[in-house]
Amino acid sequence: MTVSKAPLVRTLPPWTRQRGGMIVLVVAGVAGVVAGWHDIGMGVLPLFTGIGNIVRFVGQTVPPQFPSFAHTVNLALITVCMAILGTALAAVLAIPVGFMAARNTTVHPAARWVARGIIVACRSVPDLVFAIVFVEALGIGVLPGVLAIGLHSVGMLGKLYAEAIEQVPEQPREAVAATGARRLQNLATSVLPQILPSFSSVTLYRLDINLRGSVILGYVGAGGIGFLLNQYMDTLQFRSAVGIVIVIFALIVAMEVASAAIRRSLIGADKPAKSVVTAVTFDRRTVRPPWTRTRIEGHAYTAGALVLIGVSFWATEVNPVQAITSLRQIWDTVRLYYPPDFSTARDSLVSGTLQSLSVALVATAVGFLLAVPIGLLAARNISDRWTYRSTRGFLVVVRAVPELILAIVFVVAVGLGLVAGTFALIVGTVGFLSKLIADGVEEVSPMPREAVRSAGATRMQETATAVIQPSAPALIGNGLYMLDVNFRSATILGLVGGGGIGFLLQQSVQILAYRTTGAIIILTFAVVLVIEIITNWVRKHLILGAQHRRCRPQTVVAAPLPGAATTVSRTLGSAGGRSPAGRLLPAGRDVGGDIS
Amino acid sequence: MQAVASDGPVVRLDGLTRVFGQHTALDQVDLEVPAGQMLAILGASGSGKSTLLRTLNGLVAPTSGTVRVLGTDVSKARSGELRALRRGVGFIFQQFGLVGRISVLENVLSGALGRLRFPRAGVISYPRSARLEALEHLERVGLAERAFQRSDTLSGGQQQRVAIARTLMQRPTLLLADEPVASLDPESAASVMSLLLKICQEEHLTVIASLHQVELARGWADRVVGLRDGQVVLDGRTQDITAERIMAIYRGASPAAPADVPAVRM
Repeated sequence: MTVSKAPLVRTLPPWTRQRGGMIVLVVAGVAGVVAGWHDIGMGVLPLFTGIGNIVRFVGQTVPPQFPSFAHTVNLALITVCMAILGTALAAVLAIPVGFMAARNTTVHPAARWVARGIIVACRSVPDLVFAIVFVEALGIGVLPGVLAIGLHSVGMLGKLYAEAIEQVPEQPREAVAATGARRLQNLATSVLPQILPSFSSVTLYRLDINLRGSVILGYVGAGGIGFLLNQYMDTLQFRSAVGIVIVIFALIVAMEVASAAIRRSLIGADKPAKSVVTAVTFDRRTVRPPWTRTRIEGHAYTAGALVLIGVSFWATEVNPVQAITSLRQIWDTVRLYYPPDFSTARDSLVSGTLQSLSVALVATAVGFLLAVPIGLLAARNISDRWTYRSTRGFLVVVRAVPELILAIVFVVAVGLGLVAGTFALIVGTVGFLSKLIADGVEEVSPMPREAVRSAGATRMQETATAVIQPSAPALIGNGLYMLDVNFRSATILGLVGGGGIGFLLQQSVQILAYRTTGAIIILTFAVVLVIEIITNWVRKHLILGAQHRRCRPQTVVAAPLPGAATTVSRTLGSAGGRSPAGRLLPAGRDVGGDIS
Repeated sequence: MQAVASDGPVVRLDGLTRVFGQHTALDQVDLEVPAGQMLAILGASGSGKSTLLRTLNGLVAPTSGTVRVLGTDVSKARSGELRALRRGVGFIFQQFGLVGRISVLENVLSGALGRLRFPRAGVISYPRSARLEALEHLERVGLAERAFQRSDTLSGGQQQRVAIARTLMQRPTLLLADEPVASLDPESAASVMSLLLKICQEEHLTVIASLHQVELARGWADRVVGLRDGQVVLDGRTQDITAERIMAIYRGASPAAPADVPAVRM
């Protein structure tokens, strides 16, 4: 390297649109958080002054009561069944949507846009809003809850299915097309088997989310245990309410543990080495594969899922035909909300939306700041074994508490209002985001870390350079995703006294002001859509753009060096010499441009 | 399977041109391949070999010119006709093109998709007769005992053998091969290539293969066609063409490629 002899022009990476955009984004974000903080009157102090309230509240709740334990468990299981049926419905609906939304399997660009429109629309409308409409149309019961969960989940499932489909390698599809196979045959042969593991894993994950969400649907009459919880809370029977909370908590933890185990086993079965069939005694009449462990497990999971769905139908007495025969009723109900009435409650609509937005912004920002260190502690490749395990365990517990119940606790502590909602969302964000961060960090390649360590870096420097920097785009992406999620949650939490637009929603539903409710739904939808557009733009231009830029120098290199090897030589080179270009050079960053 | 194959050439290209954006991959290519011929296409990377092979079974549509294969006008064929043509045309890919997560047998069976009809259209399952046939083909390529193993557990050479068995399942009359052994180590390359040759001779297939090992092509093909920048720069019977003339295809093909190393393929 002749860098030392050349006159040094710049010591910082060149000024790019990405960097400019990122700074604008950060400044706008900080401004928004500060404004939001003032708007909702946020503070840490009420938490301490509220401790007395919590203690008093807890005093009223012990010992928990189970007025009718069998009844409680029965209702809780109905909630589980509702989540299962809703997720199954969503999976069935999301498969065609996913195939149409994926770039490589769609039939036409127009079909792709329609599918993506469906995905965004379903994601943007909270399941609670769907539930309100369906309860209105079909009456109190489990079916409205199933439909609400199903329709809302199509958004996330369709999106993730499409992403999985887009990752399927192109060559087998081309090869199968070259044999003269039809389009559907080709999809069934070359795409479907490749995406099955991620399909099942994503669907299970959604089931977890839906179980948490299905509790609150009971609040609006969509069946299950939430209905009972609402009654106890309204009549101040806290000891019975806590009994219910304990049952829900146990169910959610059980589900989380079970689904994590199944997902691990799915991923394990997906490793080719495990499915090697050695020394099959070949018999000319054997045309069926042998019953290996992997094959048995696969069939068992399929059968288990079908049995669960069947049992859920039986237990909830949901009649799927009713959903179709009542389409007319549903349509008539939807028409009640149209045209939306923005004028009657205009001022509260504006301030409510802004408040909910503030809650989401502050909760995401504070949650993010807390989640980064916790996420690092929960990463296997950063922490020692015990820290890792206890942090992971802590996160499972935090995530098992539905945000609804968190909100109730904070309402008791700091009183009705936005601050309570914000605290609830912060805890929820920490539980969710820390896990995402930890999972992301665990996937960081160990090679740059070794390189940085061998260059004499301390542990802190190593973590900052070779772990946090490479995962920064994913970090920001996850943070933006949380903002989106939190705004929807902020709406929902209004129901239990979390303030904001959700409070208005609850009121307008209670006084049957359909057209105002319609306006609130459209407003929520619009805000989520705007957040979605902004986050997509940021992801595409700042995050993916940065990653793309980072890859480019490697393709210019003539020899097929693996990325890590390039990084090793650069990092060592810049640490050994006094190249200022290397000073700010994180592992795996855009090295080609800076060295020249 | 096509009756037309006996009279007239199997492949006939007239003024075939294919443009990708600014880049002309194929430039006015004329070519006739009679039945039973073994043709090797040579050329540096980016000379248009893969594009040429892919236009023959309609995986790539021509920008202009006509492509007639086994009596079908590929550029004008509707999707049903195109599928009927593809059924009779085997294609061996450099990267094998096996579906990784399904078994070897299922990969071979996918070669029968083109002729399977509802209800057993290969979407759910395959008929027993097709399974038996697939096992026979696997036996022929020496991998019958691997039938129920996942195909991504096989080595590259084995995967290419499975791809050959899949092609046999199509019962083709014409075989296209795009750098069939370029991704393999020398030893498996030699054994896969000789297996492919043996099968082509036994089945009396017309073969069009792009290759980068010049010596391999000379030892095997009846005829050699050289491509450079999408144009035919060499065409003749193998015994009439000297090694010197073949190497000339690669010279000046692209300033970036070293003149005497024709084997680089990114």
